[in-house]
Amino acid sequence: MKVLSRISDRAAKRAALVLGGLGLLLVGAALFVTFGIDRGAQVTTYSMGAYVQQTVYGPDRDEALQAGAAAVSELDGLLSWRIQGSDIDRLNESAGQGEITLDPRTWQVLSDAQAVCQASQGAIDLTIGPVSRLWDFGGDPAVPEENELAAALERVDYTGLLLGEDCAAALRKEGAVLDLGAVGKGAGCDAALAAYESLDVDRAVVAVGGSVGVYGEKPFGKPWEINLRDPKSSGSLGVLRMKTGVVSTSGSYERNFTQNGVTYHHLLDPATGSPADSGLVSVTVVCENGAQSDALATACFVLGLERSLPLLEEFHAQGLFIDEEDRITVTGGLDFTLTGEGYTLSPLPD
Amino acid sequence: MTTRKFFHPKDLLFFGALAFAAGVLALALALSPRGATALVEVEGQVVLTRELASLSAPEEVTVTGANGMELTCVFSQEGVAITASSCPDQTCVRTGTLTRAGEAAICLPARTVLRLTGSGWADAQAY
Repeated sequence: MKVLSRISDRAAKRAALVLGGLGLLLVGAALFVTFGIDRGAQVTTYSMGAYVQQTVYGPDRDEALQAGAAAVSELDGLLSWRIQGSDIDRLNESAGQGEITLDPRTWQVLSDAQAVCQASQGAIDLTIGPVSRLWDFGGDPAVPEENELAAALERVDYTGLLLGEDCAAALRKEGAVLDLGAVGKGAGCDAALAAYESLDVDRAVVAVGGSVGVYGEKPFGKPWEINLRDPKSSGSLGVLRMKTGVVSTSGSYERNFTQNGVTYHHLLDPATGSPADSGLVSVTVVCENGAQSDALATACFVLGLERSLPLLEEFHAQGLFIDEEDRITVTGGLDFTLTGEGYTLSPLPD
Repeated sequence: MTTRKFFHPKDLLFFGALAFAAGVLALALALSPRGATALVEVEGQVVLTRELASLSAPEEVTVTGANGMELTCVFSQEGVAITASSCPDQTCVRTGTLTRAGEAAICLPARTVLRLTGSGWADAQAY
């Protein structure tokens, strides 16, 4: 080969060394990518009537998975009104009779959620229990009789939930019933994320049902990418990017039933006791506090787009709204890329 | 007495180029996107995996979930789906066909999850 004959032996040796050295470096890099990069540990458990999936990276990842799963399970044991002896069951049983002492975790969830109840003036109401039990979306749902609904609504009043010092709590009205279904999964994310803090965890992501919380920073400062479900199909609506916090969604497609040709969804308006009719199909909220992200998603669904914006601002939260006309509105601080078909992005209202 | 070299310097150049090419290929393979893999988990344990790209024809598998419930999963190059289930609410069946890594069909009564993993998938799915 004429080219090779022009290269001196010395130059050929040098070139061989350089190429060979580069080749070894590249093979080393390939081995590192294949075996050296921490791919995290993953576990799936079930709590709060939902699928709980954790992915944790770091030296204490196995311990963190167990701690996270235990934290969510323990919180379920405290918050579920269905579990006899849970904090919420005890509080419901004591309605109208005076205060009881709660576990600090329960008290904090109630405090966080009650802040949203108050700020939204009852668009979400933790005392919705009498009404939600009538509809029974978790069991055998049916449209309640009007007189039954009216009587149940008399017992709904978020101002009757009193939270005092040293984890004291009381329900002022006899017959009041707390139902934390609207905040539990977001609170579950909070519990798992808190469990990671005392361990050597580099970063993690936890999903409790449809609420997702993130912890720590991804390599190179990249944001976490969360896939949002398309309400109309089994596919993806788009990707949400976030660096911190918890994302929760309230959607009419999640639980519904049809009776006499009318479809009723599970997001009840505490003012009427019936499914909210705000023109929205889904609301997704990102907030630092998981219980509040979940509560805000429900409150915003009830309030509708325009009345939600000041509420989100008050809690330093961001939102994504999908309406019945397949229009998507996203608040300014949310990094979202639409990939679903049949939707249009709408500007925020003035 | 003449000294005979085992390799001529220009042979070394050839081997050096070969080593470089091997390194490029190894790194390219390590970084290349992986095809989608379908996983079926029952009570948190993976019971079944399928590399979708390797399927020459759709495959139907019956999985027994928790509480004795049976689910029918169909795997194909186009996607995966739970097409039948003995669970009471049928949410898993209504989820439809999963086509993107990161998507999942969940049957809570059977504590069974069918999900797609692979390159390009999001860190989690919110719904």
